[in-house]
Amino acid sequence: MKLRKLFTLLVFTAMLSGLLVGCKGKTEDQGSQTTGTTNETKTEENKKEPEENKVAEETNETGGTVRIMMNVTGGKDEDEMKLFQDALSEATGLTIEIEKPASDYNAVLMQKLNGGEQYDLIYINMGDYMNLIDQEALLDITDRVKASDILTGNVDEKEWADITVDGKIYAGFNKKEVHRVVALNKNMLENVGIDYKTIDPSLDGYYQVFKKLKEASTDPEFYPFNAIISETWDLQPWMAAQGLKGGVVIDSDGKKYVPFASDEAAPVWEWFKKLYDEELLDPASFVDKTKDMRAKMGAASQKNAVTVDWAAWVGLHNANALAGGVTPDTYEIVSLPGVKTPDGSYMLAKGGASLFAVPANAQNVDGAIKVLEYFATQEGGELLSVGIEGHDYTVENGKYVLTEIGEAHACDHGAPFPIYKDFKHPVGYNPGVDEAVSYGEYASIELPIPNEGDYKAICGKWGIQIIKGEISALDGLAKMREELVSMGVTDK
Amino acid sequence: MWMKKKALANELTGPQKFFAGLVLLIIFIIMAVPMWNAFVVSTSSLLSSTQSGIKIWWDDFSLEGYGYVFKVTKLFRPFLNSFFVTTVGVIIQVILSAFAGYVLIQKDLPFKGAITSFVMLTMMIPGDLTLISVYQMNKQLHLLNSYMGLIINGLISGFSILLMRNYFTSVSYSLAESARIDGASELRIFANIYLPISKPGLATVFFMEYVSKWNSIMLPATLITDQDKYTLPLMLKAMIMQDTSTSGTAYAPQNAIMAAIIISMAPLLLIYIFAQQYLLAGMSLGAIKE
Amino acid sequence: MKATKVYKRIKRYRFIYLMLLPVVAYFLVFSYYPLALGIFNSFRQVKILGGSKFIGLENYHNIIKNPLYLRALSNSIIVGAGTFALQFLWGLTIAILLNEIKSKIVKSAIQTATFIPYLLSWAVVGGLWITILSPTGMINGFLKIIQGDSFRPIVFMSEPAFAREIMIFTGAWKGAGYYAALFLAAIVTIDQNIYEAASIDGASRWKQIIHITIPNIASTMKVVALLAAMGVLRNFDQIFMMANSSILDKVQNLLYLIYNDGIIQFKIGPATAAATLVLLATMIISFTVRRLLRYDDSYRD
Repeated sequence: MKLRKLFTLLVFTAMLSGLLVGCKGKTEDQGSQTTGTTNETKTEENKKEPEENKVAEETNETGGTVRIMMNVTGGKDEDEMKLFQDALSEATGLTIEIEKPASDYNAVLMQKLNGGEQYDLIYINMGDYMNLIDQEALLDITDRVKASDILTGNVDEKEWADITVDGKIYAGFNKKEVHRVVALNKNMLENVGIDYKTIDPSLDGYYQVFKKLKEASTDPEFYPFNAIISETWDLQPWMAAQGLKGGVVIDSDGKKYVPFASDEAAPVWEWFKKLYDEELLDPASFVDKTKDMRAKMGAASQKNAVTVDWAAWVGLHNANALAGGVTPDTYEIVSLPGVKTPDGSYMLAKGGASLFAVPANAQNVDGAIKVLEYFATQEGGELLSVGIEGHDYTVENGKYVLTEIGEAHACDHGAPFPIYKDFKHPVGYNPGVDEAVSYGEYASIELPIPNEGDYKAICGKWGIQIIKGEISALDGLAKMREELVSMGVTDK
Repeated sequence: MWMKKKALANELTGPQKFFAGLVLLIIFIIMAVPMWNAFVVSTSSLLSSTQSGIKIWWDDFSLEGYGYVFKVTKLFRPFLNSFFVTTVGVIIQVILSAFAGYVLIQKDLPFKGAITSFVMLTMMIPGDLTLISVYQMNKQLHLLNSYMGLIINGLISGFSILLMRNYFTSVSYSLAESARIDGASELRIFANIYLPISKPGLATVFFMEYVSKWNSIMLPATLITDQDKYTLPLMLKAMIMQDTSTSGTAYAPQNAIMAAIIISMAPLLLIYIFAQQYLLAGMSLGAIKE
Repeated sequence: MKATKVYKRIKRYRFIYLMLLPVVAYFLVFSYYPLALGIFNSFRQVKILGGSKFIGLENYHNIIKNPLYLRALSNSIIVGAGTFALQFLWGLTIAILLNEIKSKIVKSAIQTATFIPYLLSWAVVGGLWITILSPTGMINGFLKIIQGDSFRPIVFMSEPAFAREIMIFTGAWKGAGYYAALFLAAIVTIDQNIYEAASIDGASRWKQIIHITIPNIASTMKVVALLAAMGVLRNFDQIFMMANSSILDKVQNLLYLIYNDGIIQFKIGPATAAATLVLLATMIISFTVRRLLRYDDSYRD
């Protein structure tokens, strides 16, 4: 009997939820009522905008439809994605259709492309870009890019050079890639009498800083320094000590090699080992994901004092602390460009591009270019960063004011740093970001390779063994090189 | 029931009992503590939840994690979607599995061995092998971005058919045979003799498939690109597996992630608690005879 | 003669076949057709936007000569077999001990608690255990209490020596409650008279467990083993969630490798070829396990 009851109950509730699900499409604002998020004005905006856009679409029919497959870019939820779609349609005079799989982006993209779906733009990262070019799945848009005043004029030449493969360009930009800087907890440094600006930019200089921090701390779980070694994420500012560049590099004979695996890298690996032996390096760095490292750097935890992270994250640490009621006089993250190279400069790693590529079977290439152009303008940049007017922000007397939703979305709708080279952030970056971004001149991208995962796994594995002292630095590096060659990552 | 009937003195000796209790207690702790931790973190404040280490007790109780998943992540709609497609799909699945299970218990049914192998082979096919073509299939059948697609994909599993069949084998075959001689139709025998006494079996199939369908990710990820049809595990996975390699910024706080985990588990736990007594009887696998 | 007899039988069962129809149709469309297409692709060089060409066994050849696949196969089997063994013992222990508990509430509470991990996806379970095993996690905290302040936390997840053990343990942790439920279901169907008779003959309860309970659930155990054999090469989510570069050599399994070399790099041909081999290997393993268990012999009526 009980079973029947339970069954009936389940069927009933399922039907009910089915009804709710069905109704939602008709009464647009029901969702916001039940979730109770939006304020009155926003709901009104919601209703108004689609109508305006219909007009816009009708008058601009010449542009046609552009289908875009997106991953992280765009609205944060269904409602906002619609607004984003409409805003983009209105701005470009096209009818924009956006599809966004929730997870497993690569697998889904592969199925869709192979299943005959036609998109005009697909969001991909640099690794995918190389692989898809390899499969002849992308359209060569070099001439169109060259012919476009906006794309050539608004985007730094260097950026185009980064994504040019054998003289050809197959994609436009989603955002400007920033670089990873050395992030430091200013207050902790001050507590041990160090002004971060006076830190000696050498391996030993940082070693002394870590030592002081460790000695001053009574927390056994506190480690001054953390880095994501398992994925070789955060080595570049330190490898600079030997002038070694991250990733795969091609030497004068055209052979691929990994500088971090060369014997010149040994002193830096040994420096890491020293930090580990003296408990200055967080042992969790062998397994931590970036997320864990950030949690420990954050105001709530403060188990680490120095990490390497994206420029944007310097600001986010500060913004999160402020949101949690922690003021800069107790917690403030600042940044430095790391260790000086032998010739007196610095070396930072810039992120591999995130791109919108044009698939070889695109139907509306003109439309796709138009969207790429829009993303490279001040207005497009605002849409991709601050978000949608009336939803994420309002303009009062020419000043941008973030709404509650806008605050939660942290000025990131795909591009915290838009690609437009003269972009003026209408709201302003989080505290500390400007300083971190100013080190951009030292940053360069790593050579894009198709088997990036293998590179990271191999360097991480042997690097960790060296740091743990399970193998000597030179032997470990020899093994690292050997495996890199055997996996086809390098030639020597 | 039989527990009460059990012989009074027929139990473990004192020390054995103590030892057994201890082992069970250890197992209980090992299995319950991580979940308890997830619950505590889900009901902690943001600052408290981002601290490293394991939390066994609250130091700053807060429901803001739950607020976050409903307000910012907007889990309500995916929750309803999941609930709807899972319930409808699994009900259909129970019926069809019962049909197929019934077929497989027929004595001297021609091609029975072949049918059984046909069913069992489907349990061995790795998803990677069919990834591409399953998408094409769904596209041709116009099942993309539809509730229908979510319901139909994964509608039948070899496991539940075998489970149903095993349950049916415990029902006396002669009962059906005599009814057949009396001229009862197959459907009648199935509905009037087999189904009523197979409630535990049906409940078990229902539950097991509910769990697997509720948690399924790959197919919904493939089928659904409309955000209003996202299912709960998709949202959950997206929250947990945040893309850390890009310089983007959005990320969900730890307490919200844990809250989402608790929310996604709650319906399964509730059904389990209600159906527990039937499950016990229904899970008897016995032998897969052919 | 014979053909007409079969035909007669088929005719007799025509309604029965009708009941099977939706299932057969479903499997043909959603399992076998994609399977056939997948195998077809495995002999081709498939470009993602169409334009594939037949290349014979080249995809297969590349896989077989790649030593990583052999290593992945052995990782799959070691971790899979270990997980099965531990999960089996763990589940059996729970089931047998639970059966000795009189209090319905305690019994139900323990059963529920042990079953919860089974309800969770690997995305959740993996994350949970990574936290527990981290240098600041529960295990290290516990070790510190035992060993005093000089204790240096162990980074369990970066120790190749622990890698497989961790995968085995967490795998068993997730599934033990499920096996316990299966075993318990079999235990409760055992005829109580057997126990009573044994009790009268003076057999202790412990002896009864060994000599009555366990033999009587042997058939369930065999099914469980067979199901595990069919799933042993299909473990992906756990490794995907929990592996990292220091332990990858020890735990990287077949599906992970297919994902890494095939899916991520959009290589359809090699991915389907590898998956076809996984299917073949699964069939061989299942068949072997079936033979080893004398599965078919003991149940022929």
